[in-house]
Amino acid sequence: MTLLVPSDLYNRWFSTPVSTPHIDVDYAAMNELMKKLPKGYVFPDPASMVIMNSQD
Amino acid sequence: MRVLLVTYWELTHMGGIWTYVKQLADRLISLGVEVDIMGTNGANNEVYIRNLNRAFSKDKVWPMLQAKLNPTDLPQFTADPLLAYYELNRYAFEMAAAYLGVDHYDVIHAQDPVAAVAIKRILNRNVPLVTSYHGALAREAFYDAQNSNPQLTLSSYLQSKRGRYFLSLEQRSAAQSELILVSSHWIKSTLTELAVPESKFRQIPYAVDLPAYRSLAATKFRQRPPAGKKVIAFTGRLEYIKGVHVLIKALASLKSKRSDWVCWIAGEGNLTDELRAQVTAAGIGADVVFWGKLDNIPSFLRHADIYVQPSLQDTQPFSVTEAQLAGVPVIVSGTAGMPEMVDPGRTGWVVPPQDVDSLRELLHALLEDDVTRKQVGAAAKAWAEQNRSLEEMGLRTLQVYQEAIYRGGLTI
Repeated sequence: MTLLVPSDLYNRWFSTPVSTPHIDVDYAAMNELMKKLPKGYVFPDPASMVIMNSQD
Repeated sequence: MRVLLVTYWELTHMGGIWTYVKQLADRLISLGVEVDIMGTNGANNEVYIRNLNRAFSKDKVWPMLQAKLNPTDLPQFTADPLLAYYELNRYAFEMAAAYLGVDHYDVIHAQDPVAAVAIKRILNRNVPLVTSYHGALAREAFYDAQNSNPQLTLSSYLQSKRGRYFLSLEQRSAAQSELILVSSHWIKSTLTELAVPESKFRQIPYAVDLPAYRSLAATKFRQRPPAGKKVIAFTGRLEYIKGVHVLIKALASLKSKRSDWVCWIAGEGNLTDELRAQVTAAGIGADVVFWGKLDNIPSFLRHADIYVQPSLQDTQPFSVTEAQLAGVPVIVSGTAGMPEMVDPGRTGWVVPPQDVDSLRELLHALLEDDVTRKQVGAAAKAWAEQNRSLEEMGLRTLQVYQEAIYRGGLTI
C-alpha cells in the first residue's frame, strides 16, 4: 500500500517554496529521493533560469 | 568496468540511435564491460533501465513539479510554455534517474545533451561523463519551428530565447563532459562554434554489425518491384527534417521525363499522412509505395537501384550506411555530416540541399546509366565494409571510456 504524504514536506528542493496542500506524494519514493539527490539540488535549474529570465 | 548508456529521449523510438546503443552495448558486453541502458518509455510515462527491468514513473513527481513551478508564483519560468515543458520533463527525468541510481557507475555515456546535463545535476560523486552528440539539438529545434513558420531563419532562431536555451544545453553538456564522441566533422564543428575545446573530441563513425546485416540481407523481401521498373528507395523516419517532401517533388518532376521507376519508402512518422497526400496531389500515387516501418531493411534494400537521403540536416545517417552495404548507389543531401559519407562520383553523389531540380536531373541520369550505378554501388559497399566495422567501434569507444576514467570526473 502506498503511503501518501503532503508534497510541502519537500519544499527544500524548490528555490521559491510554494505551498501545495492539495498535492500528496508517495512517501517511499520521496524518501529515497531525499537520500539520493545531491545537497543543493534545486528547482528550477538556476542555469536555465538565466536564459528564461532574459529578453527574447 | 560498469557503464551506463543513457538518453533523455524515448529509448527505442530513436531510429538509428537505438541501433547504435543496442549494438554498442552488445559489443561492450562481449569485451567484458557491464552495461546498463537507461531511457524514457513514453507509453508508461516512465524512465527505465531496460536490461534490469527497473522503472520509475514520472507520475510520482509530475503533479508536484507542475503545482510548485506554477505561472502565478514563477511567471518567468512559465513565460514560454515550450521551455517550461522541456524543463519540467527534464526535472522529472532527473528525479527518476536519481531514484534508479547513477552514482555507482565507472563511466556514464550520455547519448544527448539533455541527458548529460540531467545526469551531471544529480551525481553525488565525480563519475566521468562521456557525451555523444548524434544531432545538433538547437538546429533540430529550428527545423521543427520552420515547419510551421517557413520565413524563420536559422540565425534569428539561434538568437531567440528558445534558440539560446537549446544552445545552452549543448554548451553546458559539452563543458561538463570529460570527452565528447562525434561521428562526423560537421557535428564537431557545431560544438567548436560554441567554444568547446578541440582536445575534448574523439571521432568514431557509426558502425554496423556486418554478420548480422548479411544474415538479414539473405532473407527474401516479400515483394518484387514491377517488371521494367527500377526502385528509388528511402528509409527513415517520415519527419520534416528528413526532407522526404523534397524527394517527392523531384519524383513528380521526374515523372514528366520517364516512368521506368517506382519509389519505395520505408518508415513512419508524424508526416506520413501529409506525404501520402503530397504524392496523390502530385499525380504519382501509383508510383510511390509507402511500406511503413519494416523490421528488415537490408532485405528491402536488395531490390533498390538508387537510394536517396534528402535530409535537411543529418549527422551520419545509419540508413545511408545500410544502403552502401547493400551495394546501392546513394544520393545524399549536401548539408551537415552527409557529404562526409561519400566520395562524389566514386562511392555516391551529393546534391545541394532542398534542390529539387538537381535531384531530378541526377535521378534521370542514373536511371539511364546501369553501368555507373553498379560501379558506384560496388565501390560504396567495399568502402563501407572496410570503414564501418562494429569491432573497431566497440574497441575505440572502450578506449574513450578508459581515457575518461584516467582524466577523472570534473569537480561537481
